[in-house]
Amino acid sequence: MKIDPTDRKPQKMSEAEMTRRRRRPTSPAPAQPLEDDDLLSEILLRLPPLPSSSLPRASVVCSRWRLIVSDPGFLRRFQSRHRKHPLLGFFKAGFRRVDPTFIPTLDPPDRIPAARFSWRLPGGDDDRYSMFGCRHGLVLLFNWVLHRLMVWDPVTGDRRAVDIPGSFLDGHGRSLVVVFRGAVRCVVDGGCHFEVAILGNHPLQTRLFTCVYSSKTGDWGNVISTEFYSAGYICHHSSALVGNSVYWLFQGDGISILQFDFDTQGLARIDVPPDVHAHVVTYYQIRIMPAQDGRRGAAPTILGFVEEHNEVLLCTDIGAFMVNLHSMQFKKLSQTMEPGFYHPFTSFYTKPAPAPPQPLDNDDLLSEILLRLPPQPSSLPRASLVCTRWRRLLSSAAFLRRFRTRHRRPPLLGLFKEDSVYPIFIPTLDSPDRIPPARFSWRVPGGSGEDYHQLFGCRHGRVLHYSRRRRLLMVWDPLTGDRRAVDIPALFHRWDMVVYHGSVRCVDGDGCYSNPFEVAVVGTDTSGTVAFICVYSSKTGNCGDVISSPISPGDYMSFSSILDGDFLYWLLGNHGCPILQFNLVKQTATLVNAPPDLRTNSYGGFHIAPAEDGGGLVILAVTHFSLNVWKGKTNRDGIAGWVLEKTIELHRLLSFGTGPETWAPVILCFAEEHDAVFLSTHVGFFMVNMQSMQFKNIPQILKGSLYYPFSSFYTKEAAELLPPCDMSKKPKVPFAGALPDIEEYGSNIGEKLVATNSGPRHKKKINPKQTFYVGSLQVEIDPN
Amino acid sequence: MASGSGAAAAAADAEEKESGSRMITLTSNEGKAFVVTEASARQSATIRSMVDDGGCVDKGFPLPNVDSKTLARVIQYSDEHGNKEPHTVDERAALAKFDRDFIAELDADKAFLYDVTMAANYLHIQGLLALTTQCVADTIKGKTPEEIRTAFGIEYDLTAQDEKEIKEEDTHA
Repeated sequence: MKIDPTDRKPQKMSEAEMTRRRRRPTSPAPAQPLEDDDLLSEILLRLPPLPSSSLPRASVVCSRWRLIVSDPGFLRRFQSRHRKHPLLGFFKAGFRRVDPTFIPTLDPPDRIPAARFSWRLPGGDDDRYSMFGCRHGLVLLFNWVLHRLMVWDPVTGDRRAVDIPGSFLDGHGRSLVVVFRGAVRCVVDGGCHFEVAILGNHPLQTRLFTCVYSSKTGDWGNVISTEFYSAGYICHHSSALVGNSVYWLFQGDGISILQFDFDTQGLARIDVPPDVHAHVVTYYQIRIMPAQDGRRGAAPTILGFVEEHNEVLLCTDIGAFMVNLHSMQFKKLSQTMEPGFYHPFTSFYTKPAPAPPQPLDNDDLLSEILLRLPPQPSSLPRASLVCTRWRRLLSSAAFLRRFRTRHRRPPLLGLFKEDSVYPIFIPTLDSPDRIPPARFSWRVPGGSGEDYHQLFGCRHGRVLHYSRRRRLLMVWDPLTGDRRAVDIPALFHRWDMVVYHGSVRCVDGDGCYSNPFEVAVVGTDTSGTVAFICVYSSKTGNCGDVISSPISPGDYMSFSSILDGDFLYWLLGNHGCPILQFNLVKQTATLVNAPPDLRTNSYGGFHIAPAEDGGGLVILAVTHFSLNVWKGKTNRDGIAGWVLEKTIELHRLLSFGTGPETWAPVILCFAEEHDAVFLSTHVGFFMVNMQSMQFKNIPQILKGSLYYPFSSFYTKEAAELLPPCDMSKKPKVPFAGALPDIEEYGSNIGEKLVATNSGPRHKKKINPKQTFYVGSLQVEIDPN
Repeated sequence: MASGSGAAAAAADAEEKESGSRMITLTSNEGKAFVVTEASARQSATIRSMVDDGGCVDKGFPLPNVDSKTLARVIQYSDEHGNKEPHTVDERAALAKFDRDFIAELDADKAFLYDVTMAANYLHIQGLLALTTQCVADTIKGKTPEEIRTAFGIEYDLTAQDEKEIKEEDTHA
C-alpha cells in the first residue's frame, strides 16, 4: 500500500547502463527506441492501466523491463499520468452476514478472478465486518464488536487495523459513540498515505461525531461534534468524494446530503432539490454522484456509482449496464447483478504479486502474538521500541484492554513498606522487570517524619494511604501519580472517633486506571465497642450510609484486609480473634469467630486469605515451624466453623534447620491476587505460593514494619487513559473533613502543593497527570 | 416399511455425521489431495462452516493458500485433536504432550512455523493458532528491542525523538 519513497534509481540506472555498455559492441546498429531506458520508460508509461495488458505483463518480458516497471519512481509517474484508477470490479456487501465478495467487471485477460480478492479474517469474526466502501484501491471495513476499522488493500493483501478513537469508548470498551459510516482516501504526499473519516452518532441522536485518521501520523485527529437533530439514517451506500469533501446521502424526513470536509473537518447538511424526491421511488434508487445530482434511471435500479469514471451501474430487466454519464457510452455486463450494495473497486494493478505473507506482517496475527507476551513490566515497553507499527499496535487502548483481560492477574511488582515518613517501594522482580523504588515514590518534600501516616493496603493497582495528623484518606495510583482524597463522613473526623482501617478496590476488578474505585473505611469509637463502616465510591464522589457493628472492647484491627468476591474481611486482634466481615453489595457487617486458641498457639502470627478454590476464607497461622491452614466452613449464614485443612512444614519446604537458637517463621503479608504468603525466617525472606507450594527467596531485607504487596499492569497507557481533570464534571460534595486551612503536600514529582478550603483558586493550570481532588476542592500546584 | 427403512437410513446418516466418520478431501495449492475424517476437518472453523452450509463435501475443498508440506503438518495436528476426544486425565496429558512436541519441532524451523501460523489463521484452527502464536510470543519474550528486530528482520524506523520519548516514559526499555 505504501510506496517506498526512497529512490533507488541511481543504483538501477548504473545497472541499466552496464547492460547498454555490454550491448554496444554486439549491436552497432542505431539503438532502437526500446534499447534506451528513458525512451522505454516513456513508452511503458503509456500502457493502459489495465491489470494484465499493462505492467504485470511488461515486467515478465525481461529483467531490464522488470527493473524499470518495478521502480517506485516509475510507478509514481505511471499513477500520476493515468490519474484515474481503473475499475476492476465491484465488491458486493450483504446486510448482515457481510462477507465482501468481489465481482470482476473487466473481460479477460484483464479479468481478476473473484478469489484473488478474497477476504478472510483471522479470529473467526469475519462475518462481523461491515463494508464502508472503497476508494483509491483501498477497502474500508468496520468491526462492530472490536470497534476496529480495517483498511484493506486487496491487491497487496495488506491490512491495516485502526482502532476507533479512544474517546468513542468508555472505560469498559463499550461504545459511547456509535460509528456507522466511514470513508477512506489516498493522499499522495511524498509517499502514499491514507486517511479515514468516520461518522458516528450519540445514542440520543442529537450530535454527530466525526474524526479523521491519517496513516502518516498513525493517529486520529480531533473529534468534531456537530449538533444534528434530525432523525433518520445515512443510506447504506458508498460515499462520494469531490475535491476534499466526502458526501453521504441522508434519509430523514426527506433526502439530503451530508458533506464532510477532510481539511476543515466541517460537517454540513445540503438540501437536495425537491423534485428529486418526487422522482425517487425508493431511497436505494438514488446514489450521490459528483457533479451530477440525483439523476435517476427510469425503471432500472442504480446499484453503484464509480466516482472516478463518472459511470453508473444500472440493473435493468435485460441485464446490468455500466453507463458513462459523460459520454453516454454504455457496456452490458455479462454478470447478472442482484439488488444489493455494490462498492466500485478501482486500483492500479501494478503491484507485483504479494510476497508470501508472514504472521508478523498481519496486524491481527501480530496482536494475537503480542497478547501472549508475559505481563511483566519490561514486556510491552520493549516490544514498543521495535518499530512504529508495533508501537502503534501496542499503544492502542483496545489492545491494552485485551492484554489486561487475557492476563487477568497483574504481576506482583513489589511491596510497599510502611515507613515512618512515607511509604517505600521495595521491588521484588529482577532486572529488566525491576521497577526502581524512585519510580513509585510518595516523597513529601519538607516532611520531617512527624506526619504519622499509615498504609491501609494496595489493591488493583491502587494504594490506600491515611494521614492520621491531617485525618486525610487518599487513594494513590503509583503508576500515574494520581492521588485523590476520599471524602469520608464527618462522623469519622469527630474527636472521639478513630479511623482504624480501610480497603480499596477497583469496581470492575481489572485495575484499569480509568475505572472507578470504592473505598471501605472502618472506624471505632474510643471505647472500642462499635465499628463503623462506610463505602466511598469515586463514581459518585459520595459515601454510602454508615453501617455499625458491635465489637468487643479491646479489639484492634490487623493491618490488612482481604477481598473475596463482594466480601471484605478484617481480622480483629483481641483474644478471640474474631473476623469482621463486610458485604460490599448488601452493606451488612457481621462478626465471625475464629478457630479457638488461634492467638495463644500462633507465635508466628496469623493472617486471613481467600480460599484457594475461590470460595470462602482461610486463616493462615504459624505454630512453631508449621503453617496451618484453617478453612472456614460456610452455611447459609456465612462462616459457621473452621477445619484444619492442611499443615505445611515450613522447615522442610524451605529446607532450614530447626534448633533452640532458631526462631519460628513470621507471616509478613499475603498477596491475595497471587495467592502467595510472604514469610520472614531466620534464613531469609520467602514468598510461598499457597497453590503450587513453589517459593522464591527475596533478597531484600524485610524487617520491623508492615508490608503490602503491590500488583499492577505496568503499561505506559496509564497516564494517557486517565480522564482529564475536569472539575465541572465532579459532583459537588461539601467537604466534611477537618482539613486545615493551608496544607502542603508533595507529589511524587516533587512539586510543592497548596490546598485551601477557602474555595478553589485557579492560579495555574495543573498537569492532568497530577490531579488532586480533596472533596470539592481542587488542590493546586504552586510552581514556587 | 419403506418409510421405516428411510428413517433408519437417515438415522444411520445422522450417526455417521455425528461420529465424524465421513471423509473429506482437502487439496493443497500444489493440487495434492489429502483425505481426512470430518472430525479432523471440523477443527478448522473455515471448513466447518463450509460443511455446515452444505458445501461441496463430495468435491472436496481446495485450499489455495496452503502448500502441501504445511497442510500435512496442519492435518497432523487436527487429526490428533479432532479424532480423539480426551476424557481421562491421562488422555488430556497425552494431548498436551503431543502439543508440546508438535510445537517444539516447529520452533526449530521458524520459516515453517510461520507457514503453519498463516495456515492456522487462514483455516481458523483456534487451538493451533494459540499454540503457534504463543510460540512466536515466547521468541519475543525477554529480548531487547534490538534483538527482536534482528530475530524478525524488522527495519528500524523509529526516529531518535520517538525513542527518546519512549525511554522517558519507560525507564525499563
